[in-house]
Amino acid sequence: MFYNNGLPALWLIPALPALGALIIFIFASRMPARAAGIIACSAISLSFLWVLNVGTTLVLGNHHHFVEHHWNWIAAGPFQGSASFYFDLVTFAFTFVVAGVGLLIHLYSYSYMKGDAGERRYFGYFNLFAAAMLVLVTAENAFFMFLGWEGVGACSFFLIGHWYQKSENTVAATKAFLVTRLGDIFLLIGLFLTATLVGVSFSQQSAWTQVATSSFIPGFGGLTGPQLILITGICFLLGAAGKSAQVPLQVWLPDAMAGPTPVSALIHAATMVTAGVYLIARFHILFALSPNLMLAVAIVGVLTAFYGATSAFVQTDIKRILAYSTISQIGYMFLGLGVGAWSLAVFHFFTHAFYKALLFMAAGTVIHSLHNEQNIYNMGGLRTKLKGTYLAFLAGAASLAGIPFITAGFYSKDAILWNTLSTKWGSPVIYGIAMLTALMTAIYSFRLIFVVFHGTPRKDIHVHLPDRLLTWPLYILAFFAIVAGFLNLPIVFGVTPIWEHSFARVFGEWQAEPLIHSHAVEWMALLGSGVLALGGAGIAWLLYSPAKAPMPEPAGDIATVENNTPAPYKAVWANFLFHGWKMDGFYNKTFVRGFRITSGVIAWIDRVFVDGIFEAIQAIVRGFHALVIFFQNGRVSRYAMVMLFGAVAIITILLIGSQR
Amino acid sequence: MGHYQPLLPDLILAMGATFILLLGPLRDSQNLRDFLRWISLGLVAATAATLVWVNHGMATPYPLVGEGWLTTAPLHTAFAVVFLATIAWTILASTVPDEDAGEWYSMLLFLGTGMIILARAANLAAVFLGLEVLSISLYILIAFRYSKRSSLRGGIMYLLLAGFASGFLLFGMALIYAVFGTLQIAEIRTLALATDMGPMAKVGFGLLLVGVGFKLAAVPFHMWTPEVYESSPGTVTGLIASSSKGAMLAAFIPFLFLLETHWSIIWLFAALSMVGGNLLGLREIRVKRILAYSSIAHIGYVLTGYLAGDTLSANAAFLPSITGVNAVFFYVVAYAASILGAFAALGYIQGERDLTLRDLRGVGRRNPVLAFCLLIFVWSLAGLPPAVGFFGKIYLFSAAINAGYFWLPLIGLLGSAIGIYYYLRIIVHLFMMPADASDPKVHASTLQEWVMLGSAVAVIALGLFPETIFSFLRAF
Amino acid sequence: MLNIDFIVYALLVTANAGVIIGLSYLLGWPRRSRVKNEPYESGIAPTGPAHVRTSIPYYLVGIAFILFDVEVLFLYTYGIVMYRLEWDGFFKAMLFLFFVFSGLVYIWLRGGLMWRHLSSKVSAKASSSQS
Repeated sequence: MFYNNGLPALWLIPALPALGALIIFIFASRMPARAAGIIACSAISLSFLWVLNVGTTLVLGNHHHFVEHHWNWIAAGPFQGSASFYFDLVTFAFTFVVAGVGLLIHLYSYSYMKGDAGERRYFGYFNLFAAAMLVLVTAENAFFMFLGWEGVGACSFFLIGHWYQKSENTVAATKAFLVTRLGDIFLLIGLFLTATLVGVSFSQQSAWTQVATSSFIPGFGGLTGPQLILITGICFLLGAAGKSAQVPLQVWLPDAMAGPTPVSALIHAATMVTAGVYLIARFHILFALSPNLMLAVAIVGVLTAFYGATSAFVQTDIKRILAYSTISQIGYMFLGLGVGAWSLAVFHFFTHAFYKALLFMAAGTVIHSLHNEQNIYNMGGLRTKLKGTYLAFLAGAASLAGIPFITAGFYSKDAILWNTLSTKWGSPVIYGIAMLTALMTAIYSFRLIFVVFHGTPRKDIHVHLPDRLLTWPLYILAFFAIVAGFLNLPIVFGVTPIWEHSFARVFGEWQAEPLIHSHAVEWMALLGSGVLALGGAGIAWLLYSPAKAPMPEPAGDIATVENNTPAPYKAVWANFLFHGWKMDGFYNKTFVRGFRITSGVIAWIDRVFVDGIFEAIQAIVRGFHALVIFFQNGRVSRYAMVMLFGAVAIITILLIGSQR
Repeated sequence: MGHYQPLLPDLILAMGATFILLLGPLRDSQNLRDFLRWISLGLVAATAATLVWVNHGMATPYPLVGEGWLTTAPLHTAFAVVFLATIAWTILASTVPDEDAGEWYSMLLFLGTGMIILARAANLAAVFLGLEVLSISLYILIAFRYSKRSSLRGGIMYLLLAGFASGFLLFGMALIYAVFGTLQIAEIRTLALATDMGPMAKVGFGLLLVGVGFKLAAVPFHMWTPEVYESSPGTVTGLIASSSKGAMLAAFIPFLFLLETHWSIIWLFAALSMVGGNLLGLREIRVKRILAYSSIAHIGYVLTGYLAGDTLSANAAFLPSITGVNAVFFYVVAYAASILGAFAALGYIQGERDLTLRDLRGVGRRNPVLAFCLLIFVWSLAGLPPAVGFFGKIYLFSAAINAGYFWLPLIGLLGSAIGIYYYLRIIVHLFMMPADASDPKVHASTLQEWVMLGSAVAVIALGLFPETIFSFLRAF
Repeated sequence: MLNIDFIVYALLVTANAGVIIGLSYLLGWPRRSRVKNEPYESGIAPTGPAHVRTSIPYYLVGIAFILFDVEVLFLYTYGIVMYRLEWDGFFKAMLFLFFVFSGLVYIWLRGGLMWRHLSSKVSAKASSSQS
């Protein structure tokens, strides 16, 4: 049961948190609130241990992958979705983060959510989320993966709206759900195309090469193989963009910060939003077969990275800054995918999970200590009061900014940048934008550090100190945020990049090889991005150092600058960036309003014509009912009379009928 | 003496019933009642076994045994076995009034005797004999709680109207005998197909159809159903709706040659029943009456399949291609499995006077097992997948379409769409309405709950593996 | 092709009935008198209430008598053809007699023939239902 032919069973990985969720939901009303947290933490930690067990077996045994078939889930023509699990290195990276970082955030939540009214519900959904995410990354075929994909979406919805008493939270949850659903529709179309063209199993994906060379495929109205690949890939890209908050479906993520901070850390930074990266990495063969597709992915990636960085630049809410930076960092991952650096995109996901979870949780600690204060301009001078948190935050921000040589973020981001420049799918223009974005990333990262932790407190708030469960997970993550980068040191250091080397087994021939082999150029690029990071930190010091005390110039009174204030800045361009390039307003004016108008028309048709038809039917039916029930009055005499008439009618019909 | 052998099942059951009738008044004790229950079950089982044994190796088309009274055709034997099973089910599921256990089991066995005679009748006299044995047992069973006014009322009503209908039936038989000079259905068939039917024969068969229509409660001879169903004990209601009608259907199969001349009457029966039954139930609030009206509609569905006859048309394009009578057999089994359970479950729930929808409120919470079983039965009656009732309807309607009837299945579909309204109302009241102040009173013993659960599982299992019923049929 | 003869006949019958009922409705008018409300226009005028109380044991025994009387009637027909039917017929007659006799035993066991017991039981039930 737990071992098949000496190999550890894969189904346990998602089953354990699912079991935890089940226990919590069934016995919720009969258990103390704290017990829910304990159950959730135990379930996820057992799952993490099992992931380590499976992963070490995989790596030490030098296996390519494990497959575990359980039963046929959907079997209809070409749609053969089975409940099967698949475990290779990519899965290992994702499960390691989901279960490992998830465990730390679970522990953190245990303290963070203490005394919350919905504590049991919170931990139930938290475990359920972990289960769904683990299904997503361990599924053997795209349909089973879709189960997890929708599962994480639903849990995300529940958790964003955790404090559902405030209407803006439920609005944010609904927005997140609807926008990701839009992407999911495209994903489904992509899945159906995949199912009909090559089959949903991940082991069948190499069949795309045959599709790419065939000029005619029956049943698709004369579309050629490359065209179908392009269509499928665009559908997948849009699905991934919805889930991973990429342009043009990125608008939901900043609002998703309405949930509790650990939720933002787990779901909207470390794991769920990277599902799009996982999707494209899994279907890398499909993408690699079409240069246009790769270009599209890269453009989406770099645009998003740029968009996120510019918007993060002017935010005043600490969580929104981190949200935009998440969007931006996932943009880097997409960029990595778009230039064919599959393993590096996964690597950037890996390091990003640590430092972004760390940043969110540290921010949560700050918010918690300041009694739910989220505006960074109301903070300041926390360096001395929250020393441990400051150090951890510093490590995270340094990693985010990509401070050279010592942080994980540097190694992972720089590798992607180098591939953007050097591989056949890359281009200097994209490289330039990406470098500019890297500079801005460094600036806003250190802006956070200087405004929040340096200087003097701006508001006289009592700081209450976080307990150990709120700080120790930060230290662990801080450790990984620094050292995880050493898993993939650049080749110019004269060492083998372990990560890339191992993942070559998975991505094999599809991995883009650098076209530039000059070590000098690579050194220059490496130093260049390092200088940019440090320079960005320096610019941040110039702009936001405590001495300058750079308040934004608010449109209104400083005291009223709260979250989501409509216009905190006087400058038009700053407001434009603050509102995320005013994308929300644009979408509201075009899509939402258009949809409202259309649905208004349809509702009118429905009310007048469709309802009318049904009401008429109802009236007719009722009329006939009244007619027949009239005879049913309980008197034997009348019943006998009706029988007699019936008999007479029958005889009459028979006798009137033809003599033949 | 060899020709007594085929009559053995009927003899065993009738003599056993007499025996139990005599045992009953001997002593008034729980032990005796339990003994009677198990011995009745044993008798039913023995009868079924004998039935199968006697028919073994006699599979010539419509062989006539017992001086030409009974047929051993496989379909009819299968019907008889199914009816015996419903009797056995009722013996297990019924709550017996303390005083009259002997009479109760004895009457159930006599009812079974009537059914197996009727189901295998090859002779007009045997039809009448079986029908009367069945009906007389039913009069007693309906009025079994004779100290209650309503129960007595139902019994008397059924007695009067059934007597009236029997009059039509007998007169019809007399006319048929006058025209054809024989009582053997097979001979009548040959004669009727050989020559044109005169008005006298036509009227004779018409009057026969009146009697049959009454027994089946087809519109316009359906009037007795609500009162009689309401006033009889729950399990007996189930029997009236399922196997008593089923026996009449089985007895009617030799009369399939009437489709040549009388199809329009059967067509009208079917159409009116499907529409009328479903319309009548719409605003009813007494649950047993709702199911009574629904049973009228179900007879309409069955007659739709009956019209398709027993041959598969060459251009049977519509799958699944199943002959009409086989579909009827399937439906009788499916309907019996669902309606027996439904009425028995309603019998366990006590209402103020008549059981209303309001009385069902809170049962889902109070006795979830029973409510769940009732849900499944009603689900199946409504003809929703995956319960067996769904496939029953599919087979009937596809048989009718294959036989070239188009409007009838359409009427049936529309009718069942209307019918779903009141079926769902039962479910809504069971589970979704808050209970009134008083808790619903549910009296069901552990044995009864297990029996209910078993048949609920059977309803779903037969729906998942509908082929089982046909393989059962092929076994004869 | 329709059966014209029958249609004409049926129409005539319906018309005839309609005309008679219609005419009596139009020409006659309701007139109530004591004599008109009597059960029979000619004959003996009823005396006393219609619901006469009869002893239930009397009814029971009466019904049992009629039942057995009618059933025994079948034996007359059997008696005529007894020799022609030989042993086969004899067995069937015995089977019939077995069922008839079982009925008698049943009535006996249930106390249907105990006149005094029955009357006391019935009166006890009647008095308990009145209170």
